[in-house]
Amino acid sequence: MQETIPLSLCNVSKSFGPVRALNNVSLSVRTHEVLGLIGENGAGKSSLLKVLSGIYQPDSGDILVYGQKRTFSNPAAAASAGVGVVHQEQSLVVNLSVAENILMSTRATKSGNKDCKVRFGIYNWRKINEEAAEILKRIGSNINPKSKVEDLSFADRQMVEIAKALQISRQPGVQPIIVLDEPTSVLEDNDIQQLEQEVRRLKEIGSVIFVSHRLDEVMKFCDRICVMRNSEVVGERLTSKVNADELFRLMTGRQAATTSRERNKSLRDSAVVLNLEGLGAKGKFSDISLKVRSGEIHALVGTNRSGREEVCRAVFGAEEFDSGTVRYNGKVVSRPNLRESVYGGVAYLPSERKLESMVAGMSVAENLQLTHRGERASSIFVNPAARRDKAKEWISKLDIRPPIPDADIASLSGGNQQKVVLAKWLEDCQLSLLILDHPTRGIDPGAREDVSTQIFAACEEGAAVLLIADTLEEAISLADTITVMRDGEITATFDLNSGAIPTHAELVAKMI
Amino acid sequence: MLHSDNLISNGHRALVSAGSKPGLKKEWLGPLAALVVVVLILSVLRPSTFLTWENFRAITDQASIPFILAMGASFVILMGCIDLSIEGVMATAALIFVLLSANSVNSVDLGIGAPLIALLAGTLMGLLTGVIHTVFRVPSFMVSLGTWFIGLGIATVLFGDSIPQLSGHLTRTWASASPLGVSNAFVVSVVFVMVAKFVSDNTLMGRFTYAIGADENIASLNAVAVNRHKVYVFALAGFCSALAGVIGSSRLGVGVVDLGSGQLFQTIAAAVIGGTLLSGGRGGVINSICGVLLVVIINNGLILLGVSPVFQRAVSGLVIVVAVVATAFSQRSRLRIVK
Amino acid sequence: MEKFGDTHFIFAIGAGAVTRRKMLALAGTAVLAMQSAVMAGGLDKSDIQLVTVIQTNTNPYMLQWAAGSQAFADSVGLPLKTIVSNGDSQQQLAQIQATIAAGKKVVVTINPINSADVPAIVKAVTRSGGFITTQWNKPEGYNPWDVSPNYVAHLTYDGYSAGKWTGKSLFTAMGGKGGIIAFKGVLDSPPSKQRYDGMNEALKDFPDVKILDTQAAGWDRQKAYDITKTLLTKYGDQIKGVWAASDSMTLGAYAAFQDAGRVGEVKFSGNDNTEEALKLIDSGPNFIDTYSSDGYYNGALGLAMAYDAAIGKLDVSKLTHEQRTGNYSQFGVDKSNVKQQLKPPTGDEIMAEVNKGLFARFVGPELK
Repeated sequence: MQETIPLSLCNVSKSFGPVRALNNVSLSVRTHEVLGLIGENGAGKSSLLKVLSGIYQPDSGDILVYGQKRTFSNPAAAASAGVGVVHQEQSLVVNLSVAENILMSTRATKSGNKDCKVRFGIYNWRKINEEAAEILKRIGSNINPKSKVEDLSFADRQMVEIAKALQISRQPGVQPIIVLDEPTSVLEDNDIQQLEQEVRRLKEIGSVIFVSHRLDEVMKFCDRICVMRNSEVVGERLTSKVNADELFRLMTGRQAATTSRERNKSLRDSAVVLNLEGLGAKGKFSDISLKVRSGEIHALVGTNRSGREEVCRAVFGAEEFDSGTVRYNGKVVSRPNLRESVYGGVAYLPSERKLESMVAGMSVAENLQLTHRGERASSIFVNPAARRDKAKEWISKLDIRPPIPDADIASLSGGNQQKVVLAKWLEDCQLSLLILDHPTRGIDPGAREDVSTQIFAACEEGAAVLLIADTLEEAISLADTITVMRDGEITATFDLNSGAIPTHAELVAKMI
Repeated sequence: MLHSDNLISNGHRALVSAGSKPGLKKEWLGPLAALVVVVLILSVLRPSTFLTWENFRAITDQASIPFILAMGASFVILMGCIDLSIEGVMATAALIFVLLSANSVNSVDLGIGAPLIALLAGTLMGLLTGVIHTVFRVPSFMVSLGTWFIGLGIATVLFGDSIPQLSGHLTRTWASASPLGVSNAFVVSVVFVMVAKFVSDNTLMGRFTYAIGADENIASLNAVAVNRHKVYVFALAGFCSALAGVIGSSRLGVGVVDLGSGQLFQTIAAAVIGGTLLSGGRGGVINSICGVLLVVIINNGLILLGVSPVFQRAVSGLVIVVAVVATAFSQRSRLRIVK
Repeated sequence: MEKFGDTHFIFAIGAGAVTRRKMLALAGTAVLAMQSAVMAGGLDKSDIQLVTVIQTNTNPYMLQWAAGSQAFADSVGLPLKTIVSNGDSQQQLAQIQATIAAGKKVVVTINPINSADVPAIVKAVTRSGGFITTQWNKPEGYNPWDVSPNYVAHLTYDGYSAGKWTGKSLFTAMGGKGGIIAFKGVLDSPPSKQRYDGMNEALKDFPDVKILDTQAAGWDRQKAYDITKTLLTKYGDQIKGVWAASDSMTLGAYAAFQDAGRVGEVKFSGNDNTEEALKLIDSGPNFIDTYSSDGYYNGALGLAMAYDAAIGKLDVSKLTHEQRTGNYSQFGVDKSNVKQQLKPPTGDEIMAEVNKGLFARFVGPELK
């Protein structure tokens, strides 16, 4: 029986000093199967992947390939067993073409250069492009192999990464096992559909391991799901026989909390904090009119070209608009200005955390303080003790890990960084408008709840929230009002407090 | 370790560029356009002097050494590094070449061996820069600063107490001889440029240079031997500086230590004007060529126009600023971080 | 000591109505008062360190200067320290201070990089009981007699007469007619300005000669080479003569003419007495002249003057102001005397010239 299983791990353990990354993990991947691997940050998923792909060698336990014991002493060895990993981080050289990127990865394996695509260091472009085209076709993509990676959308880049992984693992007589590490974390809804087709196609060719913390997606994509927690495999379920709550419980050890809020009916009388009238920016969005009241969560929903992000940035002052008005607490703001916005009590949480809102190299406590404009901000020398106390407060409120105020923020995981950035804005007691662009992106479900709770708390204090949600579910569960955008225009508005909660289908219909 | 970060920073660029218009297919169209404009303006203002064969000869002669230097500098800058040692290596190569050829100071005459040894010396100096940079992880800025002064020092020691002059007929004339209509120096530089273009577009050497410039970590993830490659590129840059030194001293007939004086700034300015960003990964051979020609032609034009020397530097500085703004115009985005 | 002078300064500035010269004088007087003790008597030879300071050791003039200083040092049997500043003012000062710190009294002659460098150096030397002569550059209004008797003299070589002689020689060789291109050095440097002005003065006597174009090549051979190529396209055969404020630039232009095969009947004029220029003057009809302040002599004389003051042989208080900021004769070099210049003088020959008298070549006060 073992001989038919392409890859399995038996009682694999791995430690780094006192830290145990993997504890007696056993796992097998069958042919033509999509195996999901889920767990919170720090559960051991990435260590497991690294063992599978030959980056780590296990301290104990075996790796079996079709029943034969093997050692993956480096990625090339894993590749020769058919394992190709599409890492979460981009591994493409952006200023080179798609074909070149695929070429570069194949040179890493011994058999990769057999057909002389590169001779004496000189490229044979025809062969290189041909081979790339062939492999792209195999995964059903029509990307032009000559196009530069930096001109491609995220979804296309992911296709190229998949092509790369497939290429590496293409050995004669061996079925490819493609590992997708958090592939959907930066994709929009329609791109995810494309990915779905991809995965289905890969399933036909070999096997897929799908790593994610998005429960709904894992359930959609996978045949079987393996749950990790605290460096162990705590459960394996067939997708058809399990539900989201049970998966959540296995993952976190907690009961799934209800994240939907009580519908607050008294919003109609609250003050209007933000009022957009006919706002437009050429080429990006036009005729946007909406109101956000104090205590209201207003979600903007749409595909990735709908213009929602641009609207938010324009309101905050990070981008220009050329028609219409922005009214903030009744007063017209003619050209929103970043600094004035912050001083006026507007907070903006961008989706590109590292680039736009956190300062790597500074500590958690220092980052928390970056926008603080209260009494303490006026003195150049800030009281570090007070700063640390404030940081500790937020660390416990949002369960930021590791709970060290002086830790360099760059050393935290993505999800925890996001929490710090959110806390920075929420910390501001005079917050009146909070603009959140994908606030829970890249955060595991446990953390997501913490963040949602804090957003609600901010609303209780009277803040108005303009939100771009990661998923439709999130929008529906968090928002009081949903505005749907398509191609830069508003196509529908739903008031959830009136009792009529829109379904997925209704929203999607207005989005595309 | 933090997967999402790389994802996101690369993703940001994707967001900025994806979905929007594909942009100019060729990155050098901007600088080329600027060059064409300058040429047109000068042609209209001074047709009788600017548009002559003689002036073309003058421009090509003046551009020969900058072309060669720009090739070496481009590859280094494309990787995201910088080579400040140009003038020092030129000096060393010049002195070695002159002192080993038939000259007025000693009785050595190694014939063809003289320039070859000079080129070897330059390549070794480049190698030294590359090795110290990669092995000891010293920023290229600092290492090449050191090699610059080492080069000047070696040249000074070789110099002795009087200016060595080339006495051989061939050594003194081959660089300026023009059997092909333009000077040999220019022919050499053009051939060099063509080879450099081929290498940058079609070989591992060239493609890996771009890859390293885009992101060193990702390049090494993709099986690029980053350190080894960097050393090769610095060696190449040393070779270029040495070649420039040999040609320069052949034209002037002497070996002087300040042969390369001012070339560093001019070379880097040309590369930057041409659009080869100092941050690496962008630009290339054609860009740098356009940059060099812009600088040379502007200088030529200012003299032809009779601009007083007092104003020449100011005017050329102004034109350069305009050219740089024009070529970088398409890249301005409000929140792009500019250092 | 310092403070006394400084307070005077501040007080003077506060008073407002005092000119800069007076302030310098005030400061100087204070210094003078304190330093006068050192002057009397003279130093013992064994207590002296001879120092010569040049800008670079790859420039022919500087090398001649250094050789001249060495000749003097040999003649008195003392070792010589040669400081090369390499264009770095900080280095220049630091090395001098280090030499002073070594213990002996320094006897210095210096060719400073900038005028602005001079006061700090003079102060360092005189305060330590050393003696110094400066040559070529010093700040306007900063005079040896205001500062210290240990600041023996400032020697100048006026560029004006240099330019006038070389200009005249060139125009004569051109047969008195034709166009020339002229090269200045570094635009704001006094030698460059003076030489160019001198050339222009000579031009007045040659109405049929005109300047086609003037460019600045920063004393750089390569730059002159490049610029000449463009000038050739602009003026072509109109150019009958090339005048430059230094041999290096003339030689650069010459190489460009050679490349173009247009040396022909064109005449070339330089300055600085470099060996290459001398060879060309000797061998061919085209390179007409160069000019010499006599580097060997400058290096030797400067030291000799300071040394004589140091050992008490020269009584500085008896020197006139003119002698302490004097202009010294130079000479032009053309076919008629080039052969002598081609042979570098021996140490004895240099000293023979110096021994003719410290003011043998003194011409008059510094030309403003």
